[in-house]
Amino acid sequence: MIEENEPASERTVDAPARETDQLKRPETDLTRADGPLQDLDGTTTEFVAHIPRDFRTPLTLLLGPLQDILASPASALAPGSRTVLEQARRNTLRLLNLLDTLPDFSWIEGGRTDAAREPADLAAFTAELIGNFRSFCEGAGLRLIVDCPPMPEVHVDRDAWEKIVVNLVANAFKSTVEGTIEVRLRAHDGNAQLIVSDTGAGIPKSEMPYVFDDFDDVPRVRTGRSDRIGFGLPFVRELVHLHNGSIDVQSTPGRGTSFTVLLPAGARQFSPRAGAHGHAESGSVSTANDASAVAARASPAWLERGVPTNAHVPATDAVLNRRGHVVIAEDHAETRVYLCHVLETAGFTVDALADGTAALATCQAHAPDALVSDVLMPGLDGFELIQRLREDDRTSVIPVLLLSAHGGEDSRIAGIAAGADDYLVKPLSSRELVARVDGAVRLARLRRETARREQADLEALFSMAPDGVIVVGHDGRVLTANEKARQLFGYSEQEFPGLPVEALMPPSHRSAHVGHRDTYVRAPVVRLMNPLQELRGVRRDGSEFIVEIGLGPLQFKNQACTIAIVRDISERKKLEAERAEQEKRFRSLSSRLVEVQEAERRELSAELHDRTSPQLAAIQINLSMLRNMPSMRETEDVRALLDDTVGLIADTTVSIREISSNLRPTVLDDGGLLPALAGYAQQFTQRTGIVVQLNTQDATSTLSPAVQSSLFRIVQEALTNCAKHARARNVTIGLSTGGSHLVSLMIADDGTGFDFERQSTAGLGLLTMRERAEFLGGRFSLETKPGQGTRIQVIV
Amino acid sequence: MSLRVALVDDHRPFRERLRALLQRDRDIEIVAEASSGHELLEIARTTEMDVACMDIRLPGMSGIEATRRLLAIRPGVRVIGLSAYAEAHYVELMLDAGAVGHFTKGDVGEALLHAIHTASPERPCFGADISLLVAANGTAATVAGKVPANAEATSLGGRELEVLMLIAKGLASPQIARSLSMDPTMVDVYRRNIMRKLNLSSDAALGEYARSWSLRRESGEKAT
Repeated sequence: MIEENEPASERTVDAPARETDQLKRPETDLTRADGPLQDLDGTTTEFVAHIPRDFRTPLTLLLGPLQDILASPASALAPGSRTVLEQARRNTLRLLNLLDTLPDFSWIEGGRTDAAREPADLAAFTAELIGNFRSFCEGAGLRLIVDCPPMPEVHVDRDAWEKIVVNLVANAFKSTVEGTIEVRLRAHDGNAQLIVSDTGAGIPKSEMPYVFDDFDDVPRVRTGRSDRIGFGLPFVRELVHLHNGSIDVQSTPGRGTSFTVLLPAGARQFSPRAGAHGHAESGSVSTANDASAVAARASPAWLERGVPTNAHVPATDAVLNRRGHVVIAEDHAETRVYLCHVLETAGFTVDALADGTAALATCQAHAPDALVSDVLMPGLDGFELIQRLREDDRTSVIPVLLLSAHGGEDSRIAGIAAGADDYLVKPLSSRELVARVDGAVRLARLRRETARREQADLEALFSMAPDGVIVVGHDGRVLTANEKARQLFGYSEQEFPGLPVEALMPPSHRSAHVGHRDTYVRAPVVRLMNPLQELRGVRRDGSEFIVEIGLGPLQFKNQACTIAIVRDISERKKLEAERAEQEKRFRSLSSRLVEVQEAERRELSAELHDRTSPQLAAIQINLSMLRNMPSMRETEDVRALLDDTVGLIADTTVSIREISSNLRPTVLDDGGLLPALAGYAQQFTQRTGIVVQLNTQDATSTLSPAVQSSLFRIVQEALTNCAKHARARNVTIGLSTGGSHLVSLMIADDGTGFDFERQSTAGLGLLTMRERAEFLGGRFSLETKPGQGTRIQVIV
Repeated sequence: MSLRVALVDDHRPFRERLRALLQRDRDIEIVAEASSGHELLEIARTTEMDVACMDIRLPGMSGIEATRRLLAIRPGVRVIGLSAYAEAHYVELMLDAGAVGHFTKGDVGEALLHAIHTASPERPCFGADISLLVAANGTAATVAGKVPANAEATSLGGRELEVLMLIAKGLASPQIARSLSMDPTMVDVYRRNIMRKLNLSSDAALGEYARSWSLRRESGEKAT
């Protein structure tokens, strides 16, 4: 094998630079679409890394067990064997160190996504390329025929052409034990036709359909010198397609194989997926192949080879509860088996997969605790795998340990820069592997647990929030909504995301809202939405409800959004309305009660006036007449009795007048408030001796009967308080209408006043006055201090 | 020639008592009785009258309005208000309508008879209650101008004068009751009646008035 790959050593000059380029690629070239080119990358890197790895892998496999044995207790080793084993280990390490200094085949490193076509003297260029193989062929006893006559200039990408030629020749070299390798270049119908044929083992008919497939898919039935026959062919196919060309293969087992490449000579644009059609001849195969098909076949391919795996066993909690769940992406079967063995022995649950695509799918299905990935793999390589994992929320936090044969500092830096959590260089002791993986798993679990707890807390906050929470993107579409919001609006969890937020409001508001939204996004602050206007939400069924909405800016899933807190205030509004209605009813009832009371009083008062008083008067007249009758002159005691009776009746008449006036002075109805106040004040003074100064010059009698009545009662109440509690000598009553108020009433006395806070003597009277004032929609105020009189003001 | 008097009151028992009272005056002839303003106006078209005793609260038309209309038909009639109301408001309205006096129904006696004979727009007459109300009411300036300040003991009855005399001597209520053979509560009734008629609002004021009245009376007696 070493001999076989020796030609690589002659191409050392630009290898380091290219290696670095390749390692940086995943960072700098993130925009490529999936497809054949990506597949091509995997194939190419596989090809590039293939040669050094062909050395490294067996050496690693050698070193691992050696170290395992050496790590065993001394008692487990046969006497003297440790020295021998140690010698073997040292020499293995020496070989690996040597390998580190050995440049690889990176001069045909791939990964180009476009190519600059330039006019080239293809014949001379091709002959020169093949010249490099001449000494090796001779050393191997093979005949190398180069048939490249001068031909017209052809537009090709020189790099690509170089890789096509070198790969095909290298492939022929590998396949051929004895005989001839022939390279022919011709101008053919305006195309450049390259034919590379050999007299090697040929390709069995059963393998023909897989010639251009990923090498891992090809059943290893051939008995060539390498188990990697055809490793560069997928790459070659893609380069040919890149030139809108075609490649065909014809092979006869035991007789040899011939590859024919046809490139258009023109300067047309490259097309990444030009449909290259194979010729449906016997023994030939179409090269059109689908990357995804390759990926899909990857797993079964190594399953058939009996590599231990549990990739298709669903990860259960029991699995997760073990030391950790690790996915391995490693295309090299023996390394994969080794890694799998070491990690499973250490107690990890392992899914071992042969390529990046399958590993990605496994990770996406159930995120493992860690991923150990080879850098160089067919399909997705390690870097691309990291990139894809990081792009996906489900897999973005999985720790990735890159495993590479490249031990150089640049490689490590590139690996870490690409997003790897660790970079392991083969060879690797099983103990180190376990330790590194274990560290990564534990760190990841800790990280995940913390994140999970935080997430759970946030989720709880979000979902348990008593208000609806809706996150809206700047495009006006709902990103997420919590349970309460779903309840409020009647949308399911699935229906909410993507819903235009305008769907949640009445149609009449929708167009305006689009503008409001834009305005808000330009200056987002935490605030209530239109607090002055009644907002309505619309349910899925079209019904509406009254809402209160708080808005705020929010960074959600890496985008600026608006968070809307929605509260259904229908119930509150209803209650408010009910309360207002109740209050209104209460007021109307109260004023009705007052009216009824006043009406009753009016009636009673009139009754006393119109019936009782005249009757008393009539009795009084009778008695007077009786007293003056001549027959009474002789009976002095009867006359005295009659005098007393008349006196009593006079007193009673006045009492009745006072009672009637207190009930409701008829003058209040006949003449209004002013004469009623005058009359009442008069009577009050007469009864109590308290002087009442009545200032009503600024008042007109334009007030409604209800207002007049209430004001009269307030005065009555206030004067009663004056007489009962205040021990006042003077009372001033001021009444004015107009100005800024309907009416203003002031009642001030020079009495004792009282401590408003402590004393409740006049409590009920004050309460009544206040209520009467408030029934009128007015304000009642009272100023008093002990010794400073009392001043009552009513403003309506 | 006797005075032709019309009585307007919807309270029949009172009207009849009033008629009986007035008829004891030989110079008075009751020419009409009406229980409403309309009725009176109807009668007034055919019946001549000198005086009308007019209630204020009447069915249909108020006594105030009736007064105005009556005077429109018969300008020479002297209308005297006679109602349960003592408020200045009504008195003023009655005077504005053309009445020449006002009495409360509980105050019909010699003063009313006197008014029927003498009251005129120039010299209006008022019952004791009325006069003091009008006199004390600052707002009723127009009335006050028309009303003579007559808050004098002339409006007091015989028993009231007896009580006042004893008050003037400085006697307390129980002593007054004893000396007049009167129930003590009756003394208080008379005191209240006197105070009301004389517009006195406290016992002290009553005592002071009684003393000065007694002095004036004594000097008056001496003078005569």
